Amino acid sequence: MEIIILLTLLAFGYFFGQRAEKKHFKSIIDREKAYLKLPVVTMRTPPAIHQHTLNSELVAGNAVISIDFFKKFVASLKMLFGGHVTQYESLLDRARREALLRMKEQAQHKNAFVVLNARVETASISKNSKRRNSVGAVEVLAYGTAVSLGDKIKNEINS
Amino acid sequence: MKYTPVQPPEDINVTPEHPLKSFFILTAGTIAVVITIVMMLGFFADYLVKYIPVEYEQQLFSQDGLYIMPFATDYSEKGKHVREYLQTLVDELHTTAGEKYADHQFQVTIANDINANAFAVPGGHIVVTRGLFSSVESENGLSMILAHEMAHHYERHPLRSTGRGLVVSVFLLALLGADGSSFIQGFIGNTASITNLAFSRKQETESDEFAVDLLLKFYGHASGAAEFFQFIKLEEEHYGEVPSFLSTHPSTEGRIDTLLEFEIKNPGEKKKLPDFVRDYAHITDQEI
Repeated sequence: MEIIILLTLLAFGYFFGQRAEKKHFKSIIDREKAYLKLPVVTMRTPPAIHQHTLNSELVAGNAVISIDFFKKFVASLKMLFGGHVTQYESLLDRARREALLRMKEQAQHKNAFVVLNARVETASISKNSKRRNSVGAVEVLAYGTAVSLGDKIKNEINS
Repeated sequence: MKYTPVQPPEDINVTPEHPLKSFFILTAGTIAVVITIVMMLGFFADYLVKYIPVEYEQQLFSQDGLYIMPFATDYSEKGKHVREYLQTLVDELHTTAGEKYADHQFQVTIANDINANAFAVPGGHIVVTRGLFSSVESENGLSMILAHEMAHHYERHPLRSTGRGLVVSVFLLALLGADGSSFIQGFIGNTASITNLAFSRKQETESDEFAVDLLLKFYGHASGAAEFFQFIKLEEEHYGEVPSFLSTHPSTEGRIDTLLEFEIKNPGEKKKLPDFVRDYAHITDQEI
């Protein structure tokens, strides 16, 4: 009986997990192409001579993605033997890229031409706080400084 | 500095690998490893059991020791009478079994449960349920069951199973930790118990063989050996049977065939059950 429940859960996890992942990756790639012209860099400050002509502001993107039952099962088996836990790779990749994209989207709204000092942070959101080792979902926060042209230089360009 | 917009390729941070591939490799690997380890530990436990004296086992699992009684005991007057009868029967069978097993001692208990069943509990205990008396027709049939449970004790099966269970649980605990409710723990635990079932089935077959020999020695014939199993078969037809590989016991049909063959080779007249034992089969809950 337990075996049947397990197999059903695995099948459901595999089917829905794979479907969601494929769909998500497709959307990520499309949007990445759309935002390709907006660079995100880890440099901390713009060159000094431009500083007084620029506006800068915090932008942040946040994404929470959950792992499916199938991957979780395979990953926990993998943890008995050791090695690359490839099952978690796509989860983290999706979360990180989604967070960066959301950050870029915010920067776009602020008419930024570059995002400086970009940082990415990860936290695991565990379903059950007692089992601290288990990863239920992963949260990725991307943040940086969106830099846009200041009013003064805009007026100069316009005139 | 110059920025050239380029979309990087996909498979840098995600390993391009089919998820089902690692699933099958890992599942098969885990099952193989667990089966191997459980079997090894099991053989170890089995091997060591013969170095534990019967006396020590009896002391350890005495009434004030680790004795586990899975059901409420029947303490009624009628129950006491029947218990004494069973005890005498067991002691007589034990004498027949011979000098080789002289260090064994048996203690019969009647459990207040209507399902027909009997168990050998470590420490020389034989537990018989109330329902058992309606599953046999003759004393020979009853003796067969008692002899079967005695055979478990002679071969040290209860202690072996306990030892095996203990060693395997320690292994699973070490591997998976104590907070055991996740699916992975269930999966590995089930693999381990299915492996153990094979040993359990082997023990049942061994005990059947021993019991039917003892029956032959005691009565001079083997009539009634299959009685209980024929009753169980009827119940199985009613409730449905568990597939053999998932069961602690070999298939009932196979057991009946073997025992009937033995009965036909060694025919004789069955002894009736005494009246008070027959009546006990129909005792109501109020009388207990």
